[in-house]
Amino acid sequence: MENMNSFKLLEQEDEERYKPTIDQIKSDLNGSMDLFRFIGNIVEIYVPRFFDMMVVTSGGGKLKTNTPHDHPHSSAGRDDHGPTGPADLDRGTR
Amino acid sequence: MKQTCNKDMKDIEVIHSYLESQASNCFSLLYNRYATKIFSKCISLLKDEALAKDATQEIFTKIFLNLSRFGEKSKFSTWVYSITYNYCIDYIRKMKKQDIFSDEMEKVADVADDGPEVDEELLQLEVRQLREVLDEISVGDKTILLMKYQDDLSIKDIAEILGKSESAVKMQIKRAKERAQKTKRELFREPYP
Repeated sequence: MENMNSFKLLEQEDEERYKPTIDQIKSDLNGSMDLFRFIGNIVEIYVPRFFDMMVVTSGGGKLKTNTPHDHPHSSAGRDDHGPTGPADLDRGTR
Repeated sequence: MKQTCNKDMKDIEVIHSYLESQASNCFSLLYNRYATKIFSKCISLLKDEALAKDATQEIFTKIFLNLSRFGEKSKFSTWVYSITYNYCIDYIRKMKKQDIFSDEMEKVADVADDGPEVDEELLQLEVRQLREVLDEISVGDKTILLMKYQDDLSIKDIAEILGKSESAVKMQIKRAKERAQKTKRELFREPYP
């Protein structure tokens, strides 16, 4: 058994004494944590959609699911793509 | 409902499990391990049950919202106590508009530890007597005695929590013990034979 000095005995006595209060705090805290989780879920789901909608309404296109990284050799829809090698660099200076 | 934690798990295992699953029983397990300790410290320092209740709730919210930032550099209990003491110290500081640790903690020479016989008088007190002594001494003295004798925090940990040097903490503990012993003798004078 752990060495029980008077300070630890005091803590143990408080544990018994305040048990009902501790239980009540737990139920209040559970409510707060549920609320935080709910807000977290809302943010996770709706904030990206909100920004997506803002982009669309301001004239931008909806983000494509196929990113340029999926097709490294594509120009990702751009007509004017940058130099791809030494030959292109030479062409750019002429 | 997800059930991923059990009472045989260590704190750190429960934390990892909670962060992965957000399971409510992991939350309950950590709460049951630390709630009474936190509340007991809050009521001892704030001296008001309603304030201690609000403080415990806020401290737990802080702990759970920052659980992913727990760096595992110290024990989880030390991290929890650090949040608890700092919350209470900040609250008292705001209310009293003064530092609860006196200037004696600044610029002190290295202090030798007292012998074990000096501690005995305090550690062997009856709980009722200790409660009265703690009610009489300053919040600063009470805080540092609880950290050392109730939470078994090392001098290094106490120094980190309070943002003071180790020598300053040793000096504060030595003086807090002296003042607590003096208070005890004044409160419970032995009758002359």
